[in-house]
Amino acid sequence: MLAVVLVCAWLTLAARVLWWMLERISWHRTENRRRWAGTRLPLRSLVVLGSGGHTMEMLSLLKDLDQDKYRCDFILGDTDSTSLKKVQATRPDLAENLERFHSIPRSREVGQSWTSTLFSTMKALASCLGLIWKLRPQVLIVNGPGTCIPVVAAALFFELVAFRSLSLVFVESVCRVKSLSMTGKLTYLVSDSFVVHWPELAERYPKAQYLGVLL
Amino acid sequence: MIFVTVGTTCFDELVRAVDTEAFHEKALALGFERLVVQRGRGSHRPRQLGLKTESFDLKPSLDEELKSASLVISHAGAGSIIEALRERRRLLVVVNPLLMNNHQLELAEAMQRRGHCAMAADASEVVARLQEAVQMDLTAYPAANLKPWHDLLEDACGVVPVSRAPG
Repeated sequence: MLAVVLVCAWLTLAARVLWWMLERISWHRTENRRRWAGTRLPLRSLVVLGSGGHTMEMLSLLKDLDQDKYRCDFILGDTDSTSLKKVQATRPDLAENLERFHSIPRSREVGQSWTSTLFSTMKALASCLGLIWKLRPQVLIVNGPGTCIPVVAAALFFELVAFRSLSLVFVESVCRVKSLSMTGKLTYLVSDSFVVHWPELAERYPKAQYLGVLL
Repeated sequence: MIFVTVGTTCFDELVRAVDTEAFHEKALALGFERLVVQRGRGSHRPRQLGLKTESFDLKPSLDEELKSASLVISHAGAGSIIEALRERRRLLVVVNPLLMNNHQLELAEAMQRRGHCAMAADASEVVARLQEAVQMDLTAYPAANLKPWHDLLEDACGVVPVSRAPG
């Protein structure tokens, strides 16, 4: 009897994982799934700010973004002291409510050894899981810094186990002209939309979309 | 005025390269009178060698300097390059070869190929590239158009734009 229950549980789990993979993974640009059509606006949107150049690029992309459609929360690396200041300087409207800024531990600092990276990554992932559970994002916009990895992993995990569907939009950094960044490669298959800043990249990667000059 | 910027990086090689008599001579010959250097995290301070020279380490905004410069000599960081091109400045991008693995070169080369700026593969080339940077035919950097990006977001999320909503 127990064996039957176990087998059924395994089959259900395997079916769920398989179905999720079919829905989530795509090598080419697919028809958009229009996940949120008819949903009440604004959509709960989560934006990862990296540091330095990544933050500058993300803030340019958020210019004129309709806050009545996408209500943005922000994730910052906890050692990043400049990004919040930059938002406050350039987009005071977004920085009005500091509760919308959430910091997570960095998974890796430059020069950190790989064994300690493993532990700090686990810590970062745990913190992201908590945050994603709380914020229930419908849209996740990321643009490359390493801080994105645990956030994306946590969001996809909840999509898999808690049936929380997600629109994942990845924007590659403008400094990538011929090849994708590490985060880009990792996010390529699971993203809903994958945006690049150079036509060279769009030619090489069938799923990547070049939208002209955005910055 | 020539404005030299290294962003938040340490790129003393570039600051040293504009702190030479050869550079000042060339710049004076090309009609420049002032030199403003943003030194970032580097420690070298430029001297007075002909051009009226000022320098500072970091500022929250470089708008003022960018607006009053007729030539910008910049490290190859994406932020600095794009800000200078947005201000429609003549630009000489100087790659820091010590940062080879951070893909600065890719962006600098792509911008140069499209005729938006001149490029020096390292700081020692700055003097040699100065004239080219001042006199080259520029292709204006196109204005950013965020409409396709907003459309893509709407599509990806399936938000029906208010104007197209049924009823």
